[in-house]
Amino acid sequence: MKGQAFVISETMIDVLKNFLTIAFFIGLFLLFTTYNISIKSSVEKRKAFDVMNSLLGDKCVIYQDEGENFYRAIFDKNKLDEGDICLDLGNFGVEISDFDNLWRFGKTQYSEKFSIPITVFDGQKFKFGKMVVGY
Amino acid sequence: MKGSLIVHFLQFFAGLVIVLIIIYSSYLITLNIMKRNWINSKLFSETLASVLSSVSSSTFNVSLKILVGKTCDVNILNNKVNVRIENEIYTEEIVFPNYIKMKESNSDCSTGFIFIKKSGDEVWIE
Repeated sequence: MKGQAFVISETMIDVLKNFLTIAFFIGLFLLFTTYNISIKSSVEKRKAFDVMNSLLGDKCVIYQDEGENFYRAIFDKNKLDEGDICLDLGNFGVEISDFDNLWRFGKTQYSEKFSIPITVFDGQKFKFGKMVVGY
Repeated sequence: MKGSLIVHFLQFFAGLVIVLIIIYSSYLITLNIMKRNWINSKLFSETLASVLSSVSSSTFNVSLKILVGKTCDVNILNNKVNVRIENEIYTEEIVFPNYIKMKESNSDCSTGFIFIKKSGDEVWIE
């Protein structure tokens, strides 16, 4: 018996053929449906990214140095504490916090959330944090 | 005989799944072909709205040149982008900071390009 080749039965080959055919058609099906879903229901997701992108460059809340330069994606804690976001958030919620969770701005209690790493300037030093946009 | 029965059983279900998938995929393909102008105007306006949002949140003055082809009818009106492709019009809101003025403007893409410009706190298309 040692060294004898293992021969796959015809039944096994037929079963494998069937599985491969089904897998091919299911793959094709998923390709079409994914395309269709992306056409139909991407509005809120796209807007959430637009809100996120606009906030990253919002002059009302980002850090400004003494040379009057603005720094994208670096938030100023003092400006955020005053709550002067220059953006109509609409149905979206925004939460900005540092990674130590010592400080937090806003709140999101939504099912869909997107996060992005940011930096927060607390008046003395720069801290890593995250911004979450939800809807 | 036992193996043969299993194969026939599987072939039946595989055939059923394949027929259903072909029918549904055909429906999706037909729908997308019939609504191609609406889909294209939607994708166009969404992309343009996102680019305008990005440009408006920049702290720099920007001039962008985007290749779009010669058949388009785009305008910015009431802080919204309107894109018309043949009979289909799609309107999309632009998200931007409130100190930015989104100027009413339009482009017929006669050169094959859309120009997006930002100067100071004003953004418009040409």
